[in-house]
Amino acid sequence: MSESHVPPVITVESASVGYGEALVFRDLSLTIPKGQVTALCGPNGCGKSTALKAMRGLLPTRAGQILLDQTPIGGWGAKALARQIAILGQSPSAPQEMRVRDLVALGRYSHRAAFRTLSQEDSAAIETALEATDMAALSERPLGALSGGQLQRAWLAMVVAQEAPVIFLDEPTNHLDIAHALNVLDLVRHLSQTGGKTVVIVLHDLNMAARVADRVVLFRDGRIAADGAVADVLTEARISAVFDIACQVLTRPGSALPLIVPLGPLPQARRG
Amino acid sequence: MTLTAKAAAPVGVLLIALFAVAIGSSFMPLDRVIAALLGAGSRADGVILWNIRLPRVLLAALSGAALAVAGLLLQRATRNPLAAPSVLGIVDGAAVGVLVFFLIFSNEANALVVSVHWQPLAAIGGALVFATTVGVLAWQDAVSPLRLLLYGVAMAAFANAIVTLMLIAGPAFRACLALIWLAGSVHTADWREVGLLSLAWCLALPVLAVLIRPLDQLRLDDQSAQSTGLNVARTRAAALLVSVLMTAAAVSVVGGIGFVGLIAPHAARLLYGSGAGPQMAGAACLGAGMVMASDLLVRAAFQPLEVPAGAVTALIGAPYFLTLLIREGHAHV
Amino acid sequence: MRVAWLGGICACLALAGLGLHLGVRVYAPGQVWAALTQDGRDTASIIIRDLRVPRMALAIVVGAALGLAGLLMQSVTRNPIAEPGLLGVNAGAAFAVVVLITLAPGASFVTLALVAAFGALTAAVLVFGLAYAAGGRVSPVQVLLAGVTVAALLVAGLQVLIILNEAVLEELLFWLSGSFADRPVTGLWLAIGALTLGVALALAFSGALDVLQTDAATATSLGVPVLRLRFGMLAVAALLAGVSVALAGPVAFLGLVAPHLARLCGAVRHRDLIPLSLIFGVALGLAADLVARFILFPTEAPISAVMALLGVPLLVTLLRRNRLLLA
Repeated sequence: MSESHVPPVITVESASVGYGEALVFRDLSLTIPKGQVTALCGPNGCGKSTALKAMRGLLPTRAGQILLDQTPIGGWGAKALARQIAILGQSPSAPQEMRVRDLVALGRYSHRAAFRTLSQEDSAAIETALEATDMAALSERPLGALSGGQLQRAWLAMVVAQEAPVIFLDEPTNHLDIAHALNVLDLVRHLSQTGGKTVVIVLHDLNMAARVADRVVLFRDGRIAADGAVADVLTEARISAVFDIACQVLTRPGSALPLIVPLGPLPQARRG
Repeated sequence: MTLTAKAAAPVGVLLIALFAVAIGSSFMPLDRVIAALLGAGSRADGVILWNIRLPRVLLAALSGAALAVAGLLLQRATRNPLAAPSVLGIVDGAAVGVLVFFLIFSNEANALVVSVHWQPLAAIGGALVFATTVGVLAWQDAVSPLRLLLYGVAMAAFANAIVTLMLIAGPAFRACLALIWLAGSVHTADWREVGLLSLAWCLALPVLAVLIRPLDQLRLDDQSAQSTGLNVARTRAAALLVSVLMTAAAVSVVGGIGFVGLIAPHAARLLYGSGAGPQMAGAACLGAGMVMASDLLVRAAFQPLEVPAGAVTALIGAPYFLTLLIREGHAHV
Repeated sequence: MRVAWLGGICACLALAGLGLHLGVRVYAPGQVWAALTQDGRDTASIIIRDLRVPRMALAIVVGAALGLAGLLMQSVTRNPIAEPGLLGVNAGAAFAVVVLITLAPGASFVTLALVAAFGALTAAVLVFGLAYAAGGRVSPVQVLLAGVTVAALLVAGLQVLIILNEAVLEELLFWLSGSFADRPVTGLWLAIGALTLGVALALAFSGALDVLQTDAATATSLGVPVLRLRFGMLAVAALLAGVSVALAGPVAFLGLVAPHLARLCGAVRHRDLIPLSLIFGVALGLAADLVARFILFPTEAPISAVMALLGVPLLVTLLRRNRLLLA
């Protein structure tokens, strides 16, 4: 169900991925179109984070294959792949005493040749990343002295400094208050529209997805329940089926985007 | 850290080295030391210096530096500030190697049939066998630090049990020799052993240079490090391997000297920061100083008792480590 | 579960029987029975009654004590690898004993045992404090490493004390090597007393120990005095470990493996875990005693070495099958 006029950059072909003995999803097929923001949504445990990690090559595929620019993910070297896709996980960690600037500099690893100090390009990329995430003023602070929102922006700066054309974000707004969450979403839109990046973002909140994404993919129980443009996918019928809730979908004032209002859980008898 | 403090370590180490060369069963003042080094002093001085003291001091320095760097690699690879080479079963495995060597290569008269200079190789062999066993056991898709350490401690105890049994089963004099080696000491140093350690260092240095930036990257969690392009599994395996080899080499010639690998990296981080390059150089320097100082103390203060240097490094090092932790409040790698 | 109980007790009885039957000289069951029931004066009776029975009693008591000590340490710290040997607790007891022997050579066994228990407790507190300082929380990794560090420090101290004090060297080496043979029987009654006290206290608080397996906040809200219970049970474990070390020298791995064998049999509540840990501890102690007689025939092997030889493969098997319940 991809839009045929936008070239796919990542293709998942009948892939099965799991942890240990259990499979999280089986025979999954999906394409990520270039230059757009794709949101992966769905209830807990539906496989959206697993799909993201698999597409970045962090999890092996038991069956099927995942292709980046027509080459299987497993065939890419670690640094080459890092120059193509940057991922920000749900719980990244770094030593508390590390300064913001040093963290962002770590994002340049895949661009640096052995034994050379930071080049002009590296320094420029770091400065740009700090500016884009509004962290320039805090660049000398240790990570341990940052608030939750500032810390998340520091990690985003590291991802931006990596200068990869594809960016994966796994629930980047989880612990942020509304203002900071909106800031992150606006940054994501900016990266896509001005920077031409392809973004895949896993989100819990459907309204955030509506705000930031061009395309939405709904997951349920390891299968894709819906895949298409925001307005086509985020309808009452589809949301009810995937999330087992009753809801109303209004139109956001001042735009054509949907506004989802949850009404309550569906009674057992009516669940899919 | 101020510049004076940073310079204090290398300068201090050099001073310790000078003292170590000067002190022994007879005290040799500085002018005679220099004269003997230049070949211009008396023959007796030259013999003492070149045949006895210099090898001993160099051995202490090289092994101390090796143990310190091995400890740093281990702490970075497992992201754990309390990791030390002795927990991987390497030291006790080396002991098994040495005892097996004595057992196989002795005739009925309890004399060694091959040259005792092969002993370090036996020690390295034993260390590698046990370290490999630990690695193979701990490898389940990835190396979990807890499993690695647990297998290491278990195999160390196993090796220790074997050593105890062999000591009891064998004749007494061999037990004495083995016990002395096990406790860790530098006093049977000769140039062959210095050569062995130098060789180990020559092999290790290029690998260490290449590992510096990956080790810095490994400060991130595994997933983020991999996202930025680091091959996490390969880096960790390389660091562990070099750590094992350097520990095996050091332990094979000086026996079980502990705590250097635990403390030197922490002290180096306090002085030189957590960039892998400066910390590694600082740790090597401090490790060399620690073992030289311990050996010096043994010769100067405890004569004629041969208190093992390993016990001294433990007794000095551990309380210092504790105060480090308390002052820091929260140790890191 | 009933199978586990029966199996465990049968194993203990079988091992005990073998312990009386086998040795440098092998005695037929008839002779053993006669020696135990009649007051004979022949060699067989003397050996069985005066040598083998005491050492068997010692193996039983020390095995049970260490099994229970290991269980209590694991429960109190919610740490599956806690035990007196690995975490330097035994080393603390040993160090305290050596200091005592050096300073006051003629000390009575009671003093020895109490000093050992004190040393054990100090080491335990030191280990957990060190682990906390190094990581801000008491995770199994930190505790293990802290334990190894503290143990190494104490052993180094031991070495120096031994070297500085040649006079007590032989006596110390003999005791440090650990054996169930040729030990003062007076100590046995003290050990039995300590064990009875420990078992009684553990059983009395078994309900609270169950609650302690949740986190501290939950346990407090359910009315369990977390800090006092932890310290109290740790003190009991230190007492048991100290007495064992004073009697038989440091023995590692028994306290680690026995509770896990109990858990493997399906025991979850302490009402079941405590007796099963005792039973498996006894079985391991008797097995170690038996092996110690034969592995270096005809010389006796130290219990600590034998226990490591038996315990490490067991531990490795448990780990490989992911039965150690590590996070």
